[in-house]
Amino acid sequence: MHRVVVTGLGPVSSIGIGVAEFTTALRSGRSGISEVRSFDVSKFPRRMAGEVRGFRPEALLQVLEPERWGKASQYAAAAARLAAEDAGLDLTSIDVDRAGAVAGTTGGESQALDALAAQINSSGYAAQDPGLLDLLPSNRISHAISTELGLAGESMTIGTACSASNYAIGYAFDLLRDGEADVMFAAGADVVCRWTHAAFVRLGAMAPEACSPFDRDRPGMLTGEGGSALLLETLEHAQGRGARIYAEVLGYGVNCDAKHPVAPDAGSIAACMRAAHENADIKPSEVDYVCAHGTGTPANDAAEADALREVFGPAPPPISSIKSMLGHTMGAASGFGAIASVLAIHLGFLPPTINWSTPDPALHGIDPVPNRARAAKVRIAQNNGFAFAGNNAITMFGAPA
Amino acid sequence: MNQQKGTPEKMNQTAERMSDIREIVAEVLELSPEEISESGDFIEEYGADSMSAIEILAGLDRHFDIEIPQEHLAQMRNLREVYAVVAREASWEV
Repeated sequence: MHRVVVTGLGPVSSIGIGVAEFTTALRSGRSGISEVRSFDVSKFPRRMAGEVRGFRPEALLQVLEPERWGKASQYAAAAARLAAEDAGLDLTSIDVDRAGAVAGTTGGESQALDALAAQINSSGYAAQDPGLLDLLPSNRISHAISTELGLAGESMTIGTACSASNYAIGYAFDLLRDGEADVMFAAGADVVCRWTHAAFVRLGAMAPEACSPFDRDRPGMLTGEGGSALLLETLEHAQGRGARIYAEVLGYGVNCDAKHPVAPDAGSIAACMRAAHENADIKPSEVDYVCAHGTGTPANDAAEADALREVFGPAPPPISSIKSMLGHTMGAASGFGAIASVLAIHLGFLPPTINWSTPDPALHGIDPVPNRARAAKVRIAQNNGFAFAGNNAITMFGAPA
Repeated sequence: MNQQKGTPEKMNQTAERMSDIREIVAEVLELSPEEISESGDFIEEYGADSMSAIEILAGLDRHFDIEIPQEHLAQMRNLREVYAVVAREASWEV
């Protein structure tokens, strides 16, 4: 059994590209929400999202030709490239057969899908652009990382939606812990697109302007996009190359309640938390911070708070939602949560839940770290990720020993 | 340095605070404290980048129990400048 550590962080997000920009935004509670530009949103009753601005794939990618890859793949590969650079990893010095990539996604190359749907709708099936069809398979997201970085080990895309990048971290953790790999990139990526936007509008889940998790009057979620990547290594490998160690991956838990297509279930979320704690070999009282799934919908935040109290008792540790700043970045979301958790440990601060104004009596005992980042010693952080169909994944991080 | 050369206690306190700051900066930059001069530019002379600047800021916040606004980072390029910013945020008598 090997210990697994985080040595590199690569966020490509609406609040910053690269770890320094992302950290600055997280500490100051900056919102990445703006009016949608990636498709015509003018006829929708909801128009805001967390789109990435100023993304220049040609400036970040050294191997991939951006025009041959969809936007989600570009985000994932750019995020992984940034994580490698942040970690000071010399890719020519590693055993590439023991280095791999795992990526999570909800919709995959959704913008290509939107474009194909528009072609079919206006001119029939024969009108589909074969170049767009080439971009479509979701397994290309992890392949994009492997190709960009020249990794010859396992390359896997996981499609468990909004908890997918936590699944990716868990999968990578297992490979490293069991000695199957030395170096793994655990990533997530999704793009703002018309069909996801439309689906969440029709569900009645979308906020009109701002996402305000754990607020009494929270109106719902906002969609977002980006790429999140963490570079994980075995402790020996990291030490062998003299790497800076941000945090240790202590373990993870996954489960699925298989009950309802969209309604979260507090009981199964609590069970997932207990599974994560058991896997990480820690007690609830040792957790200093919880990075929330925190979508800002009435149902999610209530179920998450209930589960938290069930596991931690009436006064759980502080829990904040970075979705208040990023929107819900779907397959990238729990990866961003993992990056935030690692930064909380490394720098000693709790990211805030922004847009918060009114306590919700139903969420009694919940400290959402309202509006301002807070200095705090974080030894152990818990990162929640829940997906539709009750597919939950929670990762646990600890300060380096 | 803009603090008064007042009583010996005050001078000791100033030196101690500077020494704490120097240690925080040295740890982030992976140097030994004596390698960092009071006017040495973190970026030009010691290879700091934007992330190390944030790490220094967070370390100071924690150690001195203050909240330095991130926009002050631009004025924190060497130890002497950092001391001035921390002194202001911590309301040290100078």
